[in-house]
Amino acid sequence: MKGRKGQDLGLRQSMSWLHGWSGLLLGWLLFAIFFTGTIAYFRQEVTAWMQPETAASRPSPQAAELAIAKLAAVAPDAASWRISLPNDRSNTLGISWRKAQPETRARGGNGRGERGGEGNRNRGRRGGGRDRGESLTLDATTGATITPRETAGGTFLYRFHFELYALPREWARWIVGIATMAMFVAIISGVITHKKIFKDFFTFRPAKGQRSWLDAHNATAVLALPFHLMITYSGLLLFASTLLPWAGDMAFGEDPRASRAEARAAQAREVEALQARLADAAGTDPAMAPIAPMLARAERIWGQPASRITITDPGKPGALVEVLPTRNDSLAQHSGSGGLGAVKLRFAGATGALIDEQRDAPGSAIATIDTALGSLHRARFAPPGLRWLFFLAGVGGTVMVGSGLVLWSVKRAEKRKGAPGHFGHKLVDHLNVGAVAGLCIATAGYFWANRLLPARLDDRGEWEIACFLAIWLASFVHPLLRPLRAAWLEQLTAAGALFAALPVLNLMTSHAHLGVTVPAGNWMVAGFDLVALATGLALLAAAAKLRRRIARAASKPPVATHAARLAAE
Amino acid sequence: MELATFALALTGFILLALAMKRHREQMFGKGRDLPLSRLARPAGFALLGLSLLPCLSAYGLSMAVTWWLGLLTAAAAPVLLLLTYRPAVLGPLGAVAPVVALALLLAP
Repeated sequence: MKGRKGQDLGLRQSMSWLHGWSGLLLGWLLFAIFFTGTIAYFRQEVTAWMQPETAASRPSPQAAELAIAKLAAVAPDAASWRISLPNDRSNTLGISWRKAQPETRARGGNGRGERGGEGNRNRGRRGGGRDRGESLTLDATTGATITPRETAGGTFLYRFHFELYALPREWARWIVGIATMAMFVAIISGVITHKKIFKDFFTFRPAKGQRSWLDAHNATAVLALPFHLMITYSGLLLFASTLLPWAGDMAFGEDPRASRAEARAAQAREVEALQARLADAAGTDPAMAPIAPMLARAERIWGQPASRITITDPGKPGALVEVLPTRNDSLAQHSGSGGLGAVKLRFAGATGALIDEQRDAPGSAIATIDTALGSLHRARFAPPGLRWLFFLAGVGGTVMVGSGLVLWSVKRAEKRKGAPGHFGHKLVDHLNVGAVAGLCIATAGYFWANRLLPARLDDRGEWEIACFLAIWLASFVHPLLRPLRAAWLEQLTAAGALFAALPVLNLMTSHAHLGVTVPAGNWMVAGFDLVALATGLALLAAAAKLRRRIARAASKPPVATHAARLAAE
Repeated sequence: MELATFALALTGFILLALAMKRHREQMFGKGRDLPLSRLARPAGFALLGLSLLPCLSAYGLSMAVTWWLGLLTAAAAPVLLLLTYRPAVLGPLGAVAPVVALALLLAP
């Protein structure tokens, strides 16, 4: 019995050691990944806030007709038209078109990257060289062209969470992949280390130093454990091709890229054959059938509105209309990026008749699980309520990593009993400030830069990112010049003030502030201001708490507090 | 249906907290024992399991489980926070939540 107990202790202690070090060494990076990744659940909404010019556009039932009228006016001879209809995550109407020769690579003048116009940062990077042609953002009620300011938008924060910035893509993926592995190790070893998962399930004891940090770390870890496991494991799977380059060959055949290209070519042949049949049937009448009945039909079939329309050979006898739903209603469904394997309906452009109904292509069990975990990680399928749950769990994960980092410092400081730490401890203490509070300041600063940089600046998106990085770098220098607690206090206060004042900044610099968005029921944009305000108030509350503790510590001699703490234990 | 799941899970977590002496004392004061408090733990777990059903009636299996796990986290968090800062609220809340859940489930 005793031997077994001794062994148990050994395992727990070794796991505790593993947990502490795997967590610490990549914890700073993991905090940034969780923080930016959590915001990325709302990246379209963040981009919308960063382009207030788009806020006045309201969804309307005639959006699709407006889009087709505009496309017929600006690109009557295009090979294909694409329309992104407004939905609950985007209130503008997006149109894009491709010239007749698929080889011509026209770069759009309006800086509309993907849906929402996120500047030129990811133009040409995505989609493996597939031509995106030219695009415009339209007001969904009037059809007028909107020219939003260029911004790196929510997309920068999204990409940062798995590709960091300015590093070669493969390097960045390796670094984040290794951090993800460390996270997985930390979760497993953390669960083993945690002595009383059930007994301490609801336990939080505030204002008790190390004890409170441990409680906060445990609570955010345990309460959202399903999310943490899912997000980390699926994150690893998304990196599988980077971390295990040979595994893809075994699972998906020798060259997944080639087989995907083949599938795409097969699909193109299928579409061509379909169009040839249509052209034969239609004769020479170039008129297009109205789009509204097709969309209504699609909504009846899916039980949800359509959100993307592709029209191939518009205005020609073989015109083909493809319609995609707004979101998946099953996790095992392909997300439809690249148009492969996605649910879609095909209509004959000339008659409006439904000619083909593509259901989700079933795959092997492993492929299905792979797709489902990928869906869960990206949460593109999630309706608003579920998206908020993912966001809250992400906030929990961010607090978990942050409190874990602070706990590492606090634990060692309490062990030293007031003695000054050696270099390693001091280094960790100071890096923690910049990694946790500094990132909050930098992110708030990124949003401030969005409003304060001149609207017509060249490479505006890059400037926003430069502001983000410069502020973050400064936040690592600042703790070196200040006592540790003062550094925490000042950075938390700065981050809180910057976040809490974002709605005010928005009021002064745009017409899409709370005074407009709330009465209009535009919660997509109002939500950003409200979350920023809540984040700011939470950070300010943390700062106020720290200020009181510093005041209390100053009024009491340090020896007495240590005696009290020892007595309490 | 999501709200019904949330209300059932909330009740379940309050019962689980009630099953622990430390938390029971936080809610109702020291030395107060409740009759049937022995039943709180199994009843709590049962309710957590039952709370999956409203989601299952509204979604396919994969989506239902996703909603359910997310709502479990969302329901456990306020129980922890209330226990820390407003423990007296949990008793009444534990009485109201199942009524709300029932009303939502029976509503046409």
